[in-house]
Amino acid sequence: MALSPREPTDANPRKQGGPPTLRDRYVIDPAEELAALSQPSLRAFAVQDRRDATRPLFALIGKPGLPPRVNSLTHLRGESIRGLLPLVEFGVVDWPDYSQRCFAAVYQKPTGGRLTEAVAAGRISINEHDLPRRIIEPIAAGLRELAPNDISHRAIRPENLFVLDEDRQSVVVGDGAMTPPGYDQPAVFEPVERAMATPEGRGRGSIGDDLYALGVTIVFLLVGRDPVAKLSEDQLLNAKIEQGSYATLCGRERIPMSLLEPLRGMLSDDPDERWTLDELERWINGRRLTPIQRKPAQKIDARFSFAGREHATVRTLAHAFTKHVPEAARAIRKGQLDAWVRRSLKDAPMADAVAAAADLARVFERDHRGSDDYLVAKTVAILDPRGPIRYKGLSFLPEAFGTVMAVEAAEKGSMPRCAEVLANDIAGLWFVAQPNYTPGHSNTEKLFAQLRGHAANRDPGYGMERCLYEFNPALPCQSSFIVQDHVVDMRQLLPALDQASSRVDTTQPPVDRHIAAFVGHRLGTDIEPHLRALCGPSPSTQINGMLSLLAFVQWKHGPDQVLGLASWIGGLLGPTINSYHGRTLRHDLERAIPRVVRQGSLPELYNLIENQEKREEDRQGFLHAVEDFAATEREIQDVEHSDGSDSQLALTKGEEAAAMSSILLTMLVMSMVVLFEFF
Amino acid sequence: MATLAAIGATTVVVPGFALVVAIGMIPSLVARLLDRGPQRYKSICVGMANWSGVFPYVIDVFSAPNSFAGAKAILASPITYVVMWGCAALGYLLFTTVPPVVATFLTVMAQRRIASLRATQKRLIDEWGEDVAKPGGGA
Repeated sequence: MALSPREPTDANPRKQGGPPTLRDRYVIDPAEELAALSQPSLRAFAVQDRRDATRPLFALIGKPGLPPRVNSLTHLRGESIRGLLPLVEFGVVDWPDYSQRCFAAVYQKPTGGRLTEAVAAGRISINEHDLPRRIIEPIAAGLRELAPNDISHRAIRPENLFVLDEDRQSVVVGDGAMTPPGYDQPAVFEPVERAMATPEGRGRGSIGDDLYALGVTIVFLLVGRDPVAKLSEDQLLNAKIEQGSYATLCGRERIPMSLLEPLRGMLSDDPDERWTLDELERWINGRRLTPIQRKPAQKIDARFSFAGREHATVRTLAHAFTKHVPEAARAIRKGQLDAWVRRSLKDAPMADAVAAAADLARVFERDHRGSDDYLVAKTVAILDPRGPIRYKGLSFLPEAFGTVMAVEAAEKGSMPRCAEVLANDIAGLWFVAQPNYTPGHSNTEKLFAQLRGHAANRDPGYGMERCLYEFNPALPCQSSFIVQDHVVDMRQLLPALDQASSRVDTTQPPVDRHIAAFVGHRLGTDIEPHLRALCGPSPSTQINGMLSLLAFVQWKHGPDQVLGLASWIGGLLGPTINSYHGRTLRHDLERAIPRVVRQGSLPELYNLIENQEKREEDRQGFLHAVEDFAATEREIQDVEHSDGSDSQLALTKGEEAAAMSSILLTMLVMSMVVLFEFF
Repeated sequence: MATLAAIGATTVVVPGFALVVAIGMIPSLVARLLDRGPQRYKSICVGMANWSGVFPYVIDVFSAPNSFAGAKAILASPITYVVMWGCAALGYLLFTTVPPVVATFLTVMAQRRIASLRATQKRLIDEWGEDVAKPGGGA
């Protein structure tokens, strides 16, 4: 798979003076790569323990974007389990070759080297008599330790077997937890239904899948090579489906009688018939069981010709359909498939289901249910319900959807196909097609229903980003602001954003869709009001929502001071300050912000900006101002329509005044005349 | 009709008084004929001023033993006309000069009030923003 980690760069902002160090103790030397211990998607490097320099250790560095299995790592850390390479420590380190922090696991160094290389070099020889004691028994013991914790290894293959000690007595299985389950496994080591999935879509699996891989590993070690090396992946799958895994792998090889029984058991293609760990342990302890008999292939009247091959089983046909979708859709729509299923396979319910799918596609011709991709995905689920969900090039078991999303997000920066899987309920087609009820499926189905709800919600804190974190509890936050800091835990979020403030464009708000979704999932508290504010109608509401969310995170998880982040947010508070009406209050806030920013406290900043009393006071003041303004306007209108503003009216008033003056003067004169005349 | 009857009766009863008033109030009659305003302010203004000039002679007429002869003697003096008609002229002058002054005063007062109210509004906008000018605060 072409996962694209960030290219090595010299402009690494996190590059520090010393070498990468895990937990201040395990110093990893990037200059000393150990190719002999590397895995297909993990690079191995020398490690020195500061407390014990003689201790043989090495580190595996994970690719950014590939979620490790933290549960498994946590369980294995510090444990010395027979058959498993001892995991000393794991965590996140600053890795100079990538522009971001990476997951690293420190293991005890297997001084005997890789088993296959030791065998090839003649340093060790393992024959059919040694296999049970030196390979099968210790690995079974290791799996026995994992089983009670519902952990599977999912990376058992010859290339991942190591000789732990220099006496070459102890063979162990290497790392299986630093990559998604089965991610580095060649398809031959995976049971058919998981081999048909893409590496990231193989799913957690079970101990049964580990036993299958152990069976294949034993065959490889017995014959000393890959017995199916000449087959392509499709040919191998078809052969496994049509002939069975045991016949495909061992058919032309000389298998010792003593191993016939466990190999048939472990390589059974029916998970219900496949040997369990208990059966393997009984065999190791000397009890002989009845070998599983190969079921005769179902006789069919005629094969189905498709894509240049004559198909005798619906499983190979389903696999071929996913590789040739338009041709498959044509065959389904024309009714060729259901006719073949009905006549040749004599499976009327399956034929009816296929015909119904074709009819439905015709009815809903204009929406997604009428598309070739949907029709083929539905038909494939009907034909091969135990196989993976297959849609538009994705091929995954439901439990692996999280990893599929993580890989698609890492490769493309978005998850368009995964979004379609949820929007079109493609997983629902698979669940409906399952012949038997299993509690595991029920839980996963519920999770898918929950994810569909999240995916349909386009608001910050939801969408595909939320689905990504819901399904990948150990995935670091993928925000471009902090992806290089490998933030997995809420306590790491604000320090990472604080550091990011010095290197990113601070005109952008620090909470993007990834951070909102990450907080929404990891905070474990109801933050719905914050998220609602984040998608508010106005910039001020959105900024408020962002500040309240980060303030809540700081209040709950610390740290006490985030100076850079506070400064970053302080620079974005313009719309919030402007949401206050009062200029004086706004000026007061603008003057107070630098002081609060220097405290580095987001809750304080939030309290300053979003004080309810201040907000109410401002609101009341504004309402009074509106009333005052309206009253003033009314008064202006009155004055403008009064006598003083109309010259004609003013003149009339003047004439009235003149007349009144004349009357008064006359009365005065008359009074004076009367006084002078009669007194 | 009643007015004409009153005038006729007055002429018969107090002919001196009627003569003085008839001659002295000629400017008022002219002003009344020329005044087209609805409130007749010009007539009032000129008439009242004119009456203040006629009134002293009316008192003299009533004070004399023979009012008609007294009236003729009063009307024989040119000073009488200067006083009676001069007062009417003063009334006309009052009517000509006062209204523009009053109008100017009222206009200035209104403009000052509007300026004061506009300043209040500007202070409100400066403090609370343009939204205060919108009905309901722009909500």
